[in-house]
Amino acid sequence: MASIEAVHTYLPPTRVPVGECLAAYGFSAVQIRMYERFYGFHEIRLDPQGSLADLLVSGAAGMSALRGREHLVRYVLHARTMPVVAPYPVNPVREAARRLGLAHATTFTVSQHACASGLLAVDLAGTLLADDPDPGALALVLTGEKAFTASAQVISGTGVMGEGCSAVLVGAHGQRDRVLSYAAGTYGRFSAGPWMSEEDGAAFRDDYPVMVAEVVRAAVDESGLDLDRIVAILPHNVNRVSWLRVLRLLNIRSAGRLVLDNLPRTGHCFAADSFAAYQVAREQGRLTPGDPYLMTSVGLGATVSAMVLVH
Amino acid sequence: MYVTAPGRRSRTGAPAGEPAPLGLARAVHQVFGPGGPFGNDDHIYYPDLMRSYGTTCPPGAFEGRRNSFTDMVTAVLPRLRPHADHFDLAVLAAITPDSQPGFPMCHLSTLVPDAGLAFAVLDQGLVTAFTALHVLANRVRHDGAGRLLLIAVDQSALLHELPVPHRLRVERDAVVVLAFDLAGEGGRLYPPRTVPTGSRTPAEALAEALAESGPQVLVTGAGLAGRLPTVPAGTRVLAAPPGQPVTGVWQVAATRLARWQVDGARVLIADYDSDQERLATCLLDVPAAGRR
Repeated sequence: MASIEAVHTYLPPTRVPVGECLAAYGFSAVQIRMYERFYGFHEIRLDPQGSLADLLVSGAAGMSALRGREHLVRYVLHARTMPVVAPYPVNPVREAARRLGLAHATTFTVSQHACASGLLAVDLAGTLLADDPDPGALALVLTGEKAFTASAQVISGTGVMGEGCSAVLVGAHGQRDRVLSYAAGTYGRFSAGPWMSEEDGAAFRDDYPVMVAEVVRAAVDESGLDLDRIVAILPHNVNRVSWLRVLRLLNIRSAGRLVLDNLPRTGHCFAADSFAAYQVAREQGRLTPGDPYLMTSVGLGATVSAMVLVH
Repeated sequence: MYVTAPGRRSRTGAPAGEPAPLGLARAVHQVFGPGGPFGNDDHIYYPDLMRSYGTTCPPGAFEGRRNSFTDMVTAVLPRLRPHADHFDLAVLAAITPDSQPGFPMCHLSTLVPDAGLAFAVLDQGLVTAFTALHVLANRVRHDGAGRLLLIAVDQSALLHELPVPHRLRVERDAVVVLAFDLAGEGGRLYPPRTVPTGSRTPAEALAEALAESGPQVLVTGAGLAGRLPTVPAGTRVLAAPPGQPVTGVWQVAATRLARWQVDGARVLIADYDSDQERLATCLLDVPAAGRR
């Protein structure tokens, strides 16, 4: 199964206060205060001049673990949130692969799990690489997107989207950050995603903690571990209050294991959040060798996924 | 819910770890008429998207009609029952964007009972469906997944005026679904091969594949138009209908399958993506009636 060899996160330099962003979409001052004070958002990063391909290249270009190993990369996968991101036949992930010297790799997009596509891509990359005769074969998973329209910028009552890219180098036989289990549940009643009716939107928000807790439990059970042993939860950056409801359902009393440090400074970066949080956890010394940890994400549509790994 | 871990087997109990062809249970296709109107959200999403690429939607773009991926999947799936029920894995393959930004593969779970993992493989040009099949075959080996769906779609609404190469143009909305199961009474589809042609021409690479597999029928996609080698005597060539870059070759297979099942056939399905210089081939063995 998959192992994560390296992660590198790129954030564009332009910082935009979430209030400014929300105001542009007609949010009232009261609503903006809700996103800032209650949900925990402060600012996001944007690159108004850069393309999606630029963003993906920036994520991988800063990954030192990739340099000199490009020839080992068999797959380049863009784990995509938004259903449509380019005018046909413009192909940002292929452009990114070419610019990164990875034109030889099988390059495609994995989608339909929205922001949960990142974990899907890691799992998929691991199983594809397991068939490769070279144990050193690698896959590059690229996450992150452009916030080009209202539905790609704000999720009502949930989050504000920022631009950024986490590049994830995946192997099949690594000794560190090995995947122990992966679970994904799709709740098709909410398949209209950001275009849900008011009624379905309200039901989604009500059911959300139950769905997340259900999938997290499934992944943890499958890993053979007890939830108490999970030292860190690396989540998607949606409003902090919803996470507290999930933790209650999981009987986790302290939010100390939740790595939401990026939420106020980057917003929700599509499928990149869990991987960006991994970097934070590493930098803060919150993961030591042998520690089990959990990545989790929810994609509009609605697919919930969770992955247990051991550092 | 889909759950996996190293060494886990699917609930179908299929043997894991053994390279094996996919057992074809059923193949259906549908070509669609004009479809329904665009929705209000499309008037925001697509113009914003085009603007971000420095272009615009042409005047009247949303006055036309369309069949979204969800429309097409919803229409064709009842014809697959019960083969679509309780699927372990469904993969949608497309190169055109959906004409309605949505989540058709999430919608699947409302259409069939006990839906498994469903997602999409996109953006690999004319070999995209072959890669989706590779993913399905890979899962069979590693998870022992038994009941699988390949959903190939082409979607013709073009909401901009940028150039589209002839081989990638879509003329009609179409869907093809191949359903696989452990019994595989409809034939055996061997895991596809997608290889860089390197210093060879596509015709030379295809000639090698033909010599290796010795098919009675060769089905060719849009990327091989004008690029065929001399085909061995006794091999019949069927070209995919134009304007269906992803669905075309699979539509030929779905249409001919019933006849092949009477007489038996060894079929090589092939396409070539010139942007990536890759030839994709997939061998379908259909036993004659009475030999299954």
